[in-house]
Amino acid sequence: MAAKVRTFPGGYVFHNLRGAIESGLAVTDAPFPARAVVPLAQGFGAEVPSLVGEGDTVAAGQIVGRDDASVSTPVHAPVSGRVQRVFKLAVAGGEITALEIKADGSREWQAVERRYGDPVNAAPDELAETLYLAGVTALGRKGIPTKFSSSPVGPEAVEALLVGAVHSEPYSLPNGVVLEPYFKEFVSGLRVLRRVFGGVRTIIGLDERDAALVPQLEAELSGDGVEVALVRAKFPAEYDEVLCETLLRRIVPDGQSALDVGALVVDVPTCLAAHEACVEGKPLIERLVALGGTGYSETAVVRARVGTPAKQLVEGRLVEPARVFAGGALAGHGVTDADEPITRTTWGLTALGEDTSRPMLAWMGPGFDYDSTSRAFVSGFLPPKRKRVDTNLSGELRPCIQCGYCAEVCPRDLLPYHLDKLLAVDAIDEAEEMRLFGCVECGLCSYVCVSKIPLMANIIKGKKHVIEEHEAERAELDRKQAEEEARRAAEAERGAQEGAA
Amino acid sequence: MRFLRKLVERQYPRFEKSRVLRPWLPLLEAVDSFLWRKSGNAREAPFFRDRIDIKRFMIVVVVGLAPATLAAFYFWGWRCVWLILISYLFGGATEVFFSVARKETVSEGFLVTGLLFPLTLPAATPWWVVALGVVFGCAIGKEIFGGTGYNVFNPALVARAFVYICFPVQVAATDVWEPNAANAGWPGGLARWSSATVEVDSVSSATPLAARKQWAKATDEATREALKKEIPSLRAMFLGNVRGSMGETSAVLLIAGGLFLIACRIASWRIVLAIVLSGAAYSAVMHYGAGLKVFAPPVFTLLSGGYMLGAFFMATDPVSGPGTKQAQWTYGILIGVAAVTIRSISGYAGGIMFAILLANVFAPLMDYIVMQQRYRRRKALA
Repeated sequence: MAAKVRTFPGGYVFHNLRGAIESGLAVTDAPFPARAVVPLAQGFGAEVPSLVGEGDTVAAGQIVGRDDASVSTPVHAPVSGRVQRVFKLAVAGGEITALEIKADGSREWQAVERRYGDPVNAAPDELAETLYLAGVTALGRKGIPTKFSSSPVGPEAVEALLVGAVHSEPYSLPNGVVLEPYFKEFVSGLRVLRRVFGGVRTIIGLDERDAALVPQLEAELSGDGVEVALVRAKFPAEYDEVLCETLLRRIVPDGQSALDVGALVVDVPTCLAAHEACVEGKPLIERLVALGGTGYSETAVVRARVGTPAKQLVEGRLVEPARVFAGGALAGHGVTDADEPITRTTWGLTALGEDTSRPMLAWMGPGFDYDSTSRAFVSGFLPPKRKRVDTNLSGELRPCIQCGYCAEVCPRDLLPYHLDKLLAVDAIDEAEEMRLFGCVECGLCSYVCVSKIPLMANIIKGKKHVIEEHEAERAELDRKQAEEEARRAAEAERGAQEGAA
Repeated sequence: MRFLRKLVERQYPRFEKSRVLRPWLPLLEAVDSFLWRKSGNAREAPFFRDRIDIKRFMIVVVVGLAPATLAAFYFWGWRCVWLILISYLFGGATEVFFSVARKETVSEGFLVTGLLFPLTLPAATPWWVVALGVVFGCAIGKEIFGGTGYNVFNPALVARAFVYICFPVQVAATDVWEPNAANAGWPGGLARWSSATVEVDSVSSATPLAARKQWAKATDEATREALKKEIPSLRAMFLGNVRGSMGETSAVLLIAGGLFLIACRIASWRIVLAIVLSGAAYSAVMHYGAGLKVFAPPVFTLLSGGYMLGAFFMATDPVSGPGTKQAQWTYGILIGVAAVTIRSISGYAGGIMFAILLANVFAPLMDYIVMQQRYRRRKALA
């Protein structure tokens, strides 16, 4: 039994929030979508060119977008039917080409091409190709490396495989829903991944609350040399930079991912997808989606086809008023477009109640069910009680008073308030020196801010701004260089002409 | 309540239309948001937030000060309430004036400043000294730097230093409260307007710190004996039964309120512990080790003057103090050592105020050095 619970400095434990997904909740099937929206970039990777056009008939599981030259992973049609239109989909402030497929109602799917027998004894390259063709390699923050350029690094760079089976983010899928009921599939998927990477050092970072699973995991996997470590369920434990530091004691340099220091971080659904692809031959066209949060009348976990419009998936489940967020309420984005679908990487659609009420003298109230990093409310001194969660800021924007909470919770040891002040006066060189690019965008600094300053949003904007500045500088340098060369060439030509004359 | 709510809501169009009233919109907004929580919802990730806000942050500090404040009423009478009201009134007016001039919302910082400042003054202080002091503290100590969050010094201490230097006669903490006088025992000063009187230049009415200082300086044995009687017992100083400023005398209530702040994670325990330990250790070394009697013994140091008020409530002001852990330790040690030094060998009886103001200057530099080292180490690791 792994006794010691590993963790990292900083972070924040979200305790007992209302609307949480209970361990052991049964997975239900989401209604089959009448239409599917398929963005041509899902998960990690560049947008791929479409292989089909408007009016074409496609089968579920058929590859509809693929580009082996770019760093990308093929995209599949999640349902059988006809391509209605090719259009630009607005997602989280950006734009992306997408296909809309009108489903014919058939639930059949086309199996992924496979060229091996037993996955456990198959050639790693063949398994990797299957993962690539099934779309699994788009999972993970920087993709899963294969020789098909599904990730910026090659498969030989992977020195360790880390499984993030810890769920510290509010309203994410607990192991009791995603791991326990699919234990065999998880183990099989993990074996496939280990085979692909030649049996590299593998550590499962298991949620401390699921310590009961340790004997089962060890019995099944210790023969393979897989280590199991308990990890404190402190947000953002499952972020790959943080998990890498927790499990390997290896610090990921600023602006890089765990993959850059040789650690491939995958989650439990990725292992399940690897199993489905390599054992069942099923491409990644279906996934588990957590519907958690106070915005739902009842929380649920559904198995849904990729491409199902998010609004359709949550229809009839929300309490009014509520807002829906893709990819979590901490670092995700609001779902506004009616076309925005769930993708291969959408682990959940979190919905939160929208409280616009104006209670009297709320700041003097006791706060029996308030969540706070301080203990400024009675709830800080009482036994755990379900905490109220909604989108209200519960305060107004104020200048920073340097209370230091953001620095305390930052998992990367940054001083977010200081970065914010530097960025506010456009001191970008100083901000870079103060590790602007060390931020992993977990959102905790904004969460705890007493003055309600959107620290993470400002830091993300700052990063973009700095990158643009650097690009502009480089362009300016290139332009000057080109001018200089042109001038020299003209001079040389003139000299040659004079010489000729 | 609905009536009141409607009344306030109806004022908005009136304020916006009127040329005379429009500049005062920040005041209306301040009243509105003071009474009812604003309905602002998160537009940027994360989409749900910690429940704490500045108002809550400040009110917790006020609650932490409540025991000492109530004790002040008991020790000195109802005049304390009057002085605190004056402080809030003039401090608030200064804040509103600057908010209106800047067209910004009114900040909640003066909730704490407005209470802390009068607590550092004797109960017999003339009301106009309190008013002048708080206006100076808010305007020069805070607003000219850019308002809440940008001040270099603790505004309450700036105010205190101002009146300490400009009106030494009025704020010489020489009020008398005699435990055996008419107001002794329950209800104490609560039955009187003011139990404080000012006796200028009277040896018999010195505060513990001043008495001890005079005792240490006195050369002839008779004066020493007389002064020795003026130095109260440690027990009296612990409970607050001594002469001094309104809110400073009861160490036990200040410690209780301060520990509450630390439990609420509002005040930094590192700063407090560093000030207490360094002050005690330094006076122990000088008093017992070096045998210098101008330095008080450690327990006397901690219980006398504004040491506890300064350690728990002044030095822990996050704006004027450092943010990183290592800098907080350094900051606390600097305050402890400087306070004891100033008390013992300067012309002033109290030293914690100047010590904190001095450390405020160095707080940003301390943070800067810590961050530089931390990031250099990280770079070496990566």
